Amino acid sequence: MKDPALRGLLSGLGKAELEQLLATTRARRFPAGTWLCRDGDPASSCFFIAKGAVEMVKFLDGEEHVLATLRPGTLVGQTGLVENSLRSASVRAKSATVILEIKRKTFQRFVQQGSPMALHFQEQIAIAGIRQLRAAADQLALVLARSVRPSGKQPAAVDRLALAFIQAGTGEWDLPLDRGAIPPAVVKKRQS
Amino acid sequence: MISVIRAVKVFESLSDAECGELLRFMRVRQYEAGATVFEHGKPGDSMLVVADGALSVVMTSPRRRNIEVARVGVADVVGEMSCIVPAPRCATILAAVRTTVYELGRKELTNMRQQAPAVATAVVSAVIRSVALRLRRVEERIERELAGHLAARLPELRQTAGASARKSSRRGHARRATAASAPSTWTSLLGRMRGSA
Repeated sequence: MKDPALRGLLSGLGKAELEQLLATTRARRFPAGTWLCRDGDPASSCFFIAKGAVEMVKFLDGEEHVLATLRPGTLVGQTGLVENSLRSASVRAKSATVILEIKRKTFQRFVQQGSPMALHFQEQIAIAGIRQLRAAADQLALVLARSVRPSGKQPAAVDRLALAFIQAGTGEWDLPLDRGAIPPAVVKKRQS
Repeated sequence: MISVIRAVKVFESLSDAECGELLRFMRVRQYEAGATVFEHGKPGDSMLVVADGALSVVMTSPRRRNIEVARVGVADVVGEMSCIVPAPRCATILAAVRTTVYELGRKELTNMRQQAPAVATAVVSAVIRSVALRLRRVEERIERELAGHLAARLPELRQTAGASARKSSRRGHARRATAASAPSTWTSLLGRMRGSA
């Protein structure tokens, strides 16, 4: 547990909780190039990367695309701890990797016991989910901006109107859309 | 009072005892019709459950006119994410009529972690489920919109592919070119989208 990689996520945990975590998770080794999970598989666990590195991979029309590389100290596949979820991408070991696998059933037992560790993990999951949702909303704004046809005169007002239109139109009015999500070029082009 | 919390979709997994416990940590607030509840751009770190009345979500048009974009009714929740990750409010919320809400702030959630960990866990689970559902909805919408954009661009893509096919004068190459130009758009978008996963 002296490994600096473990500090990030687990920093909020006491000694007893760390021991509880180690006692209930399984360390698994993956040689470089092997798969931790595949896109579309039913998910029932999440992985904590202890050593090595993994890549999140998505296949589209048979083409492979690496979406992100994740280093030690990161949690991957958190949605696997939520009921009825599917893996949204494949995860592959980039180098020799050691992970701690946390099963949903184990996690749920901690949740039921009101364990501080479960709460800590849950908050991490919630925070990651909220960030992902905010990023996705920005992405949606970017895609939708192409079909927005604002009719104002001042660029700032057009920009604001476009954002309001997107927020209201998607029903996600309580998500902050990044103003940068709409490139000024799109707005300018619409104006002329 | 419990019946309102009971009716909240986000909290449907909570037991009666947990709902009662949750209420202990919530503050009751009353607003007269037209009063400002949240102001756009101001920092926010609490969630509200409407107990009685209704809230109006408004956005300001360039001419500074308020446009109502949504109504929030009894047992609806607003701001459940900012309770966990504080963020500036994205819209202005006014009381549509005389309204009573239950408020749960970040500080109360932190206290709850110590004093009633089981309820805090249930609340965070509820937020996770709601976020997961919304994330799926937004992702589906992105995929639908992208599919539409790609379909609209197909003739153009075919032309590009045709041009490169004439250059290489091989049909197999042309087919690959079509397949390759489409996903690159997808990937750049998906990549940015999932970068935080």
